Amino acid sequence: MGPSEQTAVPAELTELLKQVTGFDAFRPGQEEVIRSVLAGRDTIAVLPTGAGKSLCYQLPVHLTGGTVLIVSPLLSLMEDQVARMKSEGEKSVAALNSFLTPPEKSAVLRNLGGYRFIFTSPEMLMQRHVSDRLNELDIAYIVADEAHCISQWGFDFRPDYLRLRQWLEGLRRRPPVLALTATASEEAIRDIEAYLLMDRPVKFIYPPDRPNIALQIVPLAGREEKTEWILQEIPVTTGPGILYVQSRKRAEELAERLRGCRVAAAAFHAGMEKEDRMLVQQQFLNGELEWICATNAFGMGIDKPDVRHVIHDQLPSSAAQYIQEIGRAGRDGGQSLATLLYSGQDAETAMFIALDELPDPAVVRFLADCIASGENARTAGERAGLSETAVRVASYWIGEEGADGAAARMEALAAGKRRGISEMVRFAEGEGCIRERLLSLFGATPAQQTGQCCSGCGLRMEEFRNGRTPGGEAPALSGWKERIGRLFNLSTL
Amino acid sequence: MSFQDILLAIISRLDGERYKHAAFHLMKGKRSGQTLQDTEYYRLHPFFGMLPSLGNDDFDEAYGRLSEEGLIIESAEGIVSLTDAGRNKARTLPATRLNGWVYRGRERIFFSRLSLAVQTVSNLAAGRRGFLPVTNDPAIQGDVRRLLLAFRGTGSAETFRREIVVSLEESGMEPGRLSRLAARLSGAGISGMTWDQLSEATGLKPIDLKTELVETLHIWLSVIEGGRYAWLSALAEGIRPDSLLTGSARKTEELYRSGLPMGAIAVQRGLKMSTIEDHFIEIAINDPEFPLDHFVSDADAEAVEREINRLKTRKLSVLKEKFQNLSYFQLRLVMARAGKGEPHGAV
Repeated sequence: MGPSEQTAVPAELTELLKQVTGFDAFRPGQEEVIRSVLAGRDTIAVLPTGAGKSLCYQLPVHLTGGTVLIVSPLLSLMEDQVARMKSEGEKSVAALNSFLTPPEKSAVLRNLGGYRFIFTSPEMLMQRHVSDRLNELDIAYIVADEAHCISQWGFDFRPDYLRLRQWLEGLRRRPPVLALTATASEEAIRDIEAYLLMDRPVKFIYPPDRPNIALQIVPLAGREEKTEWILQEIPVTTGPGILYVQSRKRAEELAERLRGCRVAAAAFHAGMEKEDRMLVQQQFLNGELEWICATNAFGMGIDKPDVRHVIHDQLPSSAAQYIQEIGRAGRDGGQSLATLLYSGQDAETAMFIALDELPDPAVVRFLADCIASGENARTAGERAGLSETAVRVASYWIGEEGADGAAARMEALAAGKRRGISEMVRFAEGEGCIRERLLSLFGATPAQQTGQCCSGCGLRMEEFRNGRTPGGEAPALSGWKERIGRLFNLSTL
Repeated sequence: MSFQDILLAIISRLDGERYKHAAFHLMKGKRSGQTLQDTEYYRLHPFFGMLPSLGNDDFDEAYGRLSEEGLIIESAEGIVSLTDAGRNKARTLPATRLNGWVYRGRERIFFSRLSLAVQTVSNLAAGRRGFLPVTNDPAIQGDVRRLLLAFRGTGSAETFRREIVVSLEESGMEPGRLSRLAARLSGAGISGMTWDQLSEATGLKPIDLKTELVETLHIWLSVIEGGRYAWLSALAEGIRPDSLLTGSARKTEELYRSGLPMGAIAVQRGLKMSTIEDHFIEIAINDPEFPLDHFVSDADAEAVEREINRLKTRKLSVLKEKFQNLSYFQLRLVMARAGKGEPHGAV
């Protein structure tokens, strides 16, 4: 049976919820979004991080039948989501992305109709043999995950994502589209609507407030003082926690010094082997590690419900990024803390890093000339010393609007980034309620009463110091037979 | 043996005849004619492809230390030689038990399957059905799923554990090495250790630990291939390749066997002649039946071989000077077959 607008929506969706996930009740927003999808409407849902966005696409397919196609621009996040769904017992999931080797890819493509959930990336959709196979499927609905990435005003605009539009235009029958994001400005929502060719979408926009996360800003003089604060505070405040830092080197340095203070900590960054990144995630999930010192370069899509503390060692480059990262705390609803360590020099560093990415007009023209003379954009970009992302963004706009248009786009993007950082500086240096200041950047106000609001309103810090989580055992070397025995659960005999 | 010692062992065989990067390409298992030839002439098979993802940093660091310690020296043209101290040190090194030529990095697939199988069995035994797998690779997941289904309900977990313990005991590897191997495995409630964590716990460098694990797996695989361990044999399936030729060289060989001359193979495959020549070198190295006499006359081949033995050199440029009538390709073919022990041209 094909998915259609006639899908009967049971009055009691909670029955289905219980059956599929074991949960008794929806979290705010979920049920409304699911009903809209079931009614066959195009839907835009802006739900705060930790609100359970993925449930919004996991559930309806149990009534509609068919396949759900989830398009996600962030590969690492996609991998994490697939792994998580599988670990929750949903086996009918496939990821179709560039991580696959050719034989793996053809295996997935051969069985495509057999999956309930197919995750893919926008680039994949542009491959003819992939889109042909997808076109044969009975697609119940399409999900645009992290939809803010489609907007050039978002903090992580992915031009590839715009190709989703071309693909949608080429579909025989266009199923309803569900756009999901945690953060989106009004401009971004307009872009989402336009680029995804949405037809009078229903919009559910929830303020990104997370009342159970208390906010704290600690002004410090510089890197040295931050290090000192971290080494002093982390050992006495409640974990587990994530410490966001700017560089791989800083992640490794702080993890090592924390271990010196008897905190089970490890670094996590894109320079590590894939296997080791998996191990660190696992140790963190298992409670064998209490703190992770991570760069934001790598999307930490891991769903650990009891993260109690998120610390930023550096000013994030936008409010959207900040709110997304602190949203990894307190997913279980328990009282948690987000700390921003702020020093006067942070803006300069953030500015440098954000703008270093973007090619200036002269470089855009150089790139355009190279492309015009038949050179591959990637190699030309390499010669100009551009990052991969920068080449992707610039060459997309060169193709769309020519060199001058692209240069203007880059200028506008740079201006947008500068605005974002200035906003964060004003936020960090401002007076009064931190929560109000943060939410005002999203045109929202605190919705609910909070137990602990922010350092501006006054925090009862002792409540965040009521003991370290003892956690599991930190990873250690043991005799080989003993360890193999433990792996096979002989220790309990 | 540490990574640095292994590098010294390699350089001791290439002594004075190759550039620094020859050792790097060898360890990474580069499938170029040059590297394959080096492997053959200098008997470097154990080290070929031992670390396919070796990075420049690790290599340069070890190389730099050998140089600082006065064990190796580079000529003005960049040719690496051992110093006397280096030669003495190289003589004291134990024999390696690496078997890179045969496994070519595929032991990693075995270890991924093993890790996932152990993790799955461990979690099932603990009554946990949902867990974050140690690998997201769908091919590995498929292999392990099929294996676990095949072994379902045969009193399996205990058999699996016993196979691991007994086979490792049989391997005769020392306990410290085995505990470093076991430390990389994950299960219910206990996760494997990262290289950095293992490094901190043992005082060994991550690159030395990685190198040791490769050797450990090679030793273990040779025990498993005895065939007495059902679970482990299933996990090791397909790890030892049927043909030692690379995929592309295999295709060239097929076309050659079907009767096409080299030029026609290059045209049909849309490849450069130099690539096809590299394939032929690879075939000549691997195939004892290679008909050398179709390419070089027996008399020429014998003359070249005599010269190689007399000058004790494998340097192509030296040989080319002496045999101007032969092409580089012909000389490389003769070198590929030199020392193989059977009469030239035996078909």
